[in-house]
Amino acid sequence: MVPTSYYLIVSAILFSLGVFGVLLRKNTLTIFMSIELMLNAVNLSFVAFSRQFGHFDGQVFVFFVMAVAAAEVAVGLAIIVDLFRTRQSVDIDTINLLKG
Amino acid sequence: MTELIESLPFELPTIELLIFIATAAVAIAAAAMVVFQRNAMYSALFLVANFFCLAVMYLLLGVYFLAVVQIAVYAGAIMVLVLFVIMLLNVARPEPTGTRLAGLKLFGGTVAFILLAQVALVAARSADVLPEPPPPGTAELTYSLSVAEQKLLAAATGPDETAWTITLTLDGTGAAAAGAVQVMDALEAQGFRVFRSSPPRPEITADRVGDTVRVLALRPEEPGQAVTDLAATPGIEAVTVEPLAGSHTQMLAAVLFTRFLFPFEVTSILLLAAILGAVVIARKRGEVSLSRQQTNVVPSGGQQNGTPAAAEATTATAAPVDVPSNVRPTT
Repeated sequence: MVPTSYYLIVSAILFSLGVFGVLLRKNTLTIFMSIELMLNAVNLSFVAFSRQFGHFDGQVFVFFVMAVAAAEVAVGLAIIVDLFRTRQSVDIDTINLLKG
Repeated sequence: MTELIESLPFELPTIELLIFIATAAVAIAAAAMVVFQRNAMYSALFLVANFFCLAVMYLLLGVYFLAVVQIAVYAGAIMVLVLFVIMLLNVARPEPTGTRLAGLKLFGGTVAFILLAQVALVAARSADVLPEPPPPGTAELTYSLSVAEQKLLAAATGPDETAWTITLTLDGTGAAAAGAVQVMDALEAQGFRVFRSSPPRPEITADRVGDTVRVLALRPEEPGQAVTDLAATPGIEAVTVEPLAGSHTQMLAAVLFTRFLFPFEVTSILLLAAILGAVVIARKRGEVSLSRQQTNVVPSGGQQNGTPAAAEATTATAAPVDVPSNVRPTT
């Protein structure tokens, strides 16, 4: 059986890559995907701990994280589409005003 | 060959570990490509690869339902939406270099590296602290039971006893009550302690074809013992005797629809709100302002016609939708 700590290390690497993507990329869509990457890394930790402690709460939480991620993607992409309409760009540097 | 393997100074990795290492390597490589690709389209495709690798890891962890959901929801629904938007906005061309604050790349790298070092250190140390996880299927068995059954088992189970479930399928010939007693006697002869109920349960008395009745039993744990086949009994079509455990999906559903029922329902409201929000935000702004423009144009025609009432009538026919009642032609 693969030890829980291996899963945690993979999860840590994926999460750090996600953080790096959010800080590094300029394309709003790529930043968005990096956030998904972080959510998935956390999900992996949840499932690994769920097995470790023989408890289902972690898996239920993953289920809810997925639901929230779906909602987040729907609203987030709508915002990006709307931003693109007003600015003709998805570059994060051009989005520096709250005013539409 | 076996001697050669045994003579090795180190332990050979198991197949499970090899699959894990391969999957982890692909997952990390794909994640790196998501972040370092300049083309958003390629990023999205590498992200799909990453999601598939995570699904494989869920399978290794024995979480089959979540593995399927991961592919269906993440790699399926969410990524299709992202790819759709990338194509809709036609931003698949590589983003230009430069312009963003120059130090930010260094800053981002430092922050990510410090975070990685911290979390990886804690995760690596957890190897010494965390015990070997329990084998899959034994955890939280009690979720497949009702509260009354849980209390019954908790009170009656001895230190070396394991719980079993006996499922009786009735054949509807009316002999179920007598047959059930025979089955339970046979099981007790094999060392089971069966929880009998007296008077017989209503399902047994009613005895409809295909009805199943679940009975709990306890038996002292002895390695290597099996359940011998039970002779056919009148009134009982089939008997299955199995250790008390459910499939993973069954147990997850039992938790989700009992203890987490309220959050589950709230999630449906969240999704509804998200759908409405997405529609409202992504709707074309032009539609509303277009009807305003029409009302602005019409008054000039109305002035030519003369009376404000005529102007109002023109407004009503020209733009019957979305005209606020306080919009009147100005003279």
